[in-house]
Amino acid sequence: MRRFLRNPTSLIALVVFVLVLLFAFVGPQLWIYRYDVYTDDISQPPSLAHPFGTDSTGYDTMAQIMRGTQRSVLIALVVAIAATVVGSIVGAIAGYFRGLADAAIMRVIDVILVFPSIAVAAVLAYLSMGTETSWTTIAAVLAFLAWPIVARVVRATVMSLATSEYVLAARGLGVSHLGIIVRHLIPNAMGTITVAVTVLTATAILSETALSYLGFGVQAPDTSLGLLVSTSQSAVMTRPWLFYFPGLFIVLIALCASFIGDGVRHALDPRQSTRRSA
Amino acid sequence: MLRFAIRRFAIAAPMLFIASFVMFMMVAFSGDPMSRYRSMDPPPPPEAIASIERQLGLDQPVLVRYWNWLTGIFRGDFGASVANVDIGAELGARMLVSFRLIVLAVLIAAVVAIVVGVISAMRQSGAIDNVVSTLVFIALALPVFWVGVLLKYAAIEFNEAAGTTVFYTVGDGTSSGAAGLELVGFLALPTIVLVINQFASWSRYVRSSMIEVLSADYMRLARAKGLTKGRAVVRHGLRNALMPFVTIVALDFSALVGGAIVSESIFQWRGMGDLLLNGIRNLDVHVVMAWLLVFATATIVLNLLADLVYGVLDPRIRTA
Amino acid sequence: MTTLAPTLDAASTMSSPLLEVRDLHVRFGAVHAVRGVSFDVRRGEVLGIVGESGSGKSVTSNAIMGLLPDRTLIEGSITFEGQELVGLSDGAMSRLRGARLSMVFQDPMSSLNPVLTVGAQLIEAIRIHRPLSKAHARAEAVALLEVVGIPDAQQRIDQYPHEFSGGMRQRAVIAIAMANRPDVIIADEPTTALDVTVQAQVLEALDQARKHVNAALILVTHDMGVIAGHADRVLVMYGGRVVERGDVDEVFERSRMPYTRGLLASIPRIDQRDAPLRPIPGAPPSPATLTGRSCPFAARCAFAQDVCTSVEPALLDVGAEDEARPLATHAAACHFARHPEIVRADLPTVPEVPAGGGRGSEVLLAVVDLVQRYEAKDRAGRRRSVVAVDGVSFTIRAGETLGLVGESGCGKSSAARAVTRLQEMTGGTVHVRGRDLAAARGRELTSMRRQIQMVFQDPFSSLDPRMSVAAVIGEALALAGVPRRARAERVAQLLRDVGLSEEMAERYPHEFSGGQRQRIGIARALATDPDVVVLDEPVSALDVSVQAGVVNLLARLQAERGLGYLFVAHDLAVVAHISDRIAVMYLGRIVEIGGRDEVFDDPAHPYTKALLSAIPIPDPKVERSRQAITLRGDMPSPSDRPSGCAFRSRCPVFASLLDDERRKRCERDDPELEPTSTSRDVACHFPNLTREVQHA
Repeated sequence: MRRFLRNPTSLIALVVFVLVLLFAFVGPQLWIYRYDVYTDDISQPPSLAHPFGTDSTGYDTMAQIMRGTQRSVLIALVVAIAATVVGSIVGAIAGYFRGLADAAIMRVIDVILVFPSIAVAAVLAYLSMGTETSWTTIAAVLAFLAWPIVARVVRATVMSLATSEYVLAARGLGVSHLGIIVRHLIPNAMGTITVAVTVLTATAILSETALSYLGFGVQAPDTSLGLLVSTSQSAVMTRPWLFYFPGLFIVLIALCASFIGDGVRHALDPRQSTRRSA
Repeated sequence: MLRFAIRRFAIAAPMLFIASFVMFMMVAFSGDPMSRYRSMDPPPPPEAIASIERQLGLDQPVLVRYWNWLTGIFRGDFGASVANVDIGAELGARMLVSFRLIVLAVLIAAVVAIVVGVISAMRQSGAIDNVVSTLVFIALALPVFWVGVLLKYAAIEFNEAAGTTVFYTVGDGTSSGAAGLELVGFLALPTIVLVINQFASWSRYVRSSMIEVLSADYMRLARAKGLTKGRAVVRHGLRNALMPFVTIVALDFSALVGGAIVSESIFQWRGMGDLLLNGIRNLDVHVVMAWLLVFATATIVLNLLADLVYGVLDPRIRTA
Repeated sequence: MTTLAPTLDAASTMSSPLLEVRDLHVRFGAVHAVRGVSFDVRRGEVLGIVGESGSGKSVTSNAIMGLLPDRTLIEGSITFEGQELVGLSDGAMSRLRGARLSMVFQDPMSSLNPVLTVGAQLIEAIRIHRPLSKAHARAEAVALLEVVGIPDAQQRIDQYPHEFSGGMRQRAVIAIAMANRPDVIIADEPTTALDVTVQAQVLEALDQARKHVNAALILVTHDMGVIAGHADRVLVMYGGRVVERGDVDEVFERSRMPYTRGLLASIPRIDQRDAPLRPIPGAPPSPATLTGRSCPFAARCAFAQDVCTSVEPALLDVGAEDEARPLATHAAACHFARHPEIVRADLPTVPEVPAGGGRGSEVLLAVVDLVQRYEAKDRAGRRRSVVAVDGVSFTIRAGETLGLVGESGCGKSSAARAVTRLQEMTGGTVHVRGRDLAAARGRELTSMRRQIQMVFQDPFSSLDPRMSVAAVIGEALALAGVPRRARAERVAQLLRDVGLSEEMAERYPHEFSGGQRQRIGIARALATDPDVVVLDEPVSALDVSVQAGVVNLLARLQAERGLGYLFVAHDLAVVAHISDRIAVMYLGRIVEIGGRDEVFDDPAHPYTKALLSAIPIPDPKVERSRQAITLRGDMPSPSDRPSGCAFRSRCPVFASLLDDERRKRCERDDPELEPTSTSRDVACHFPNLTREVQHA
């Protein structure tokens, strides 16, 4: 933790990420305009009254971006956390018990990963819900497609941890399998798991926005950052603020998540530890 | 090596079979292809719906449908399409368009990733590495569709300034009969979009793999023999660092296809992406399944190839 | 054993050193790893550099080769034949590396490029510096492999590193090092990763190589025995400095540095098995903590006085001065180096462990016909069944230590894990105090596990880094049924028992040194109050000066508690010290088992005899008069075990003392363990011939 805080880039990223969260979740309470209420100002460029301008129907872009960010971040975090929890448990089981359980789990994972995930996400989201896709469906679908990736990483980590002598020692003392997984393996795999959460947050936000951009994600009248980019793409020349601001927010969030993840990785890298052999 | 190849193949073939089954069930149980007709206003007569259902084979139990579909595939019959197109013929034409793009993008992205990753690794934590790493992180955070749209409009302005169409921003070029060099104008923008989307994560991978190799004992021995740092990297480092990269390229195929779907959509190509998106919107079950089957096959074949290439590159597997 | 060979230019050999190092300093950021090292090396001589972890010995040798990371700060001077090497460009340095200066590294398993054939790497080394045709270079490469003792060099040259054993790989690395007839060869811990019998072969190959090209050899090692047998002069390094230097005999016999003396007194010797080990308290300092304002050894020194903690001593000449070679004079970095009455005073005595204290006649552990087979997958994914332990039987009584020894891969660790049921055994029975461990299930197994505990090899991986010491030991106490209230007191007691202080309970493993961690591991094993403790290489990962303390601790705990020990180790000298009986394993079987002195003084199996002869003794006079029995080749893989007697492929008796008729017996019949006396069993058809094996 101390090492993480000593890394300026990841510290800044963490602060910015918290600011984005405040903007998305607290902002709407404080901001005078709502995302789904028209204003009288139509196609206004950014000004003091509308810092991010307005669109051709009079929606305040900042209010829309707050709402879009809220939706996108919510989906990304739910996906990241759900996929990480499921992936970690399954991965730990596969990596610790090996043998048949491992083989079965790995085959399931292989089958899920055989299909391009965005295509499967589009099929599942659309076929199951038609045009009334809710954010929870999208989060569920994306999490379903993301856990195998976490499971693979955690499995590899747990496999190498499981051969370490302290795990053998615990077995020699008669600690139960559950005790070994909960007390020794999961705490020591926490680094890998934390990195997985941050990386997944970044990829989840990119997947969700891409899906919404293609029309299979969050649907109007609700909005998400991807949908905002999609609806404004023809306005790049005429009302660029509509297009640039939501895009920049996506970049900002994904960038923060990546830098936080990188910071965690560095803080945990054994090669940077103080132990040196001569 | 032969035994290794046979083993790998023996694992891959049933995978494809299982994948096709899972996919069929997933599509079959996730929605009613007839919902579009049922929700029409005024609703079509029930007999009409029943007749379409019979035509698409939806009145039969799902396992029978799967069996019919599977045996159909072996005869080259992908099933009936709601939109009344010959799925097999359509797939052929569109695969050419899409795979041309994907292969080109993979090659360029891999080369860029290797160059960027190796330079970063050799200058680890130096000024070059810091600048390159920051750029790579930004590229990692860029949404494909956003970059695509930006590039599209930048290209339109560029064309206007140049007074001639250098970059085509609409279509894949096959309908206008473009061939050879002309195709470059069509391929350029989507390829760039895909490369930006993909090279970043690959270059991180190459970088960390190269850093690991640089601290390996055999690199120290190579230098102790009298190779300069640069020559040691070229002669002993690259092959070791890039071996695992082969596997990563295959694993990331799925992400690349996602990027390709999006960029085809931005530039309005009639490729695989368009086929899938329309298939989903029309609830055209057999089109969607044919599409998924093509890419599942491609993924499995690619992973198989990656395993074999790895086996060729790594004597520890080859001579076993 | 090595004399200067004044064959070339006698005058220049005597007057000008090949390599001169003057006041070398190396810094990694704030860490001052090498602090003012000076020495020189002449053609034909062997300079030993000995030191423990953090002493700066490896950094010094890498600095000479110019192989330190780019941002390392190097000050001082390193000249080779008058040419300054510090600050030389990578290009210019590359022309010297491999041609005039070359290096052999510690770990042969990773120092060859896995994707290129051994030949390709050797030919490359030749052709970097000499424009030979490929065919010509290949012929030379084959010749080089033959010099270092690789059989069938013509065929093996086209194999990949993974097809070579560890010893063969190290020979290949030596061949690469000598490929261009260098002037200086630096060998950095060249045999540390190898078994003793292979160590003897590789040191011989290194010697061959050095003589072949008439080079100077810098032999860097932590092993005083290797120095005693192979070096002409020695530098003892500690805390980044040379703390003693001089002629090998001089330093070993008349050391003026308490550290060197302490080190020699702490090393177990097979020829002095009953001499007490005198541990040096504490642990070697980490280079990051050195201030340069005190003697780095002061905190561990038996003779330290006030001045030692306020002034860092300079290297003082104590021997007869050699005008021509001021840097060869015996010198020691101790304030009292010129006061023999202080530095040559007797080392403090260690409390005697009551011999045989707590020994009883009750059999604690009885192992019968233990078999351990496991399925292994090779890299191509094929399954093969490997028999790691093939019918091993032994008993251990209360207060008794059985030393289980053998080379890596002989199955001793598999046996240890099967005995403790960390791995399910394939066959055989294990009884702890008469109760069947192999058949125990569920609750019974858990309760029986308390009776037999294990201490592991690697102190850095045997403690969960996320648990405090109290939690580590507390977990064991909880399983032993100690109520929560009583645990803190028991933890404190256990820590005191293993020589740590109870305040350490709340600390985490990374705050401890290797030796301290091993003590924590011992405390964990004792927490369940076991009858038998299996010690799997308990000191082999520790610094030499720390090992003695742990060995003495184990002996004391045994005497106090009447524990039975199964002491698994590859280091026969350590085993010799602590064991009552010895079992020697080869390819999954015990080939000789018996009372310690009987086995050590008069080995009946030729393998035992070879093992014993290969152990270097840290005494130049003794070591140079000994000759190792060099076994040919390596231990075969358990998957292709020779027919009949498995040892015959390497057996000196089979090779030179038997006629064809008797050889047939070795080829045909697998020898059973049979008693040669009341207290010793041997698995050899001709145990009487072992005595006649000549030291080759």
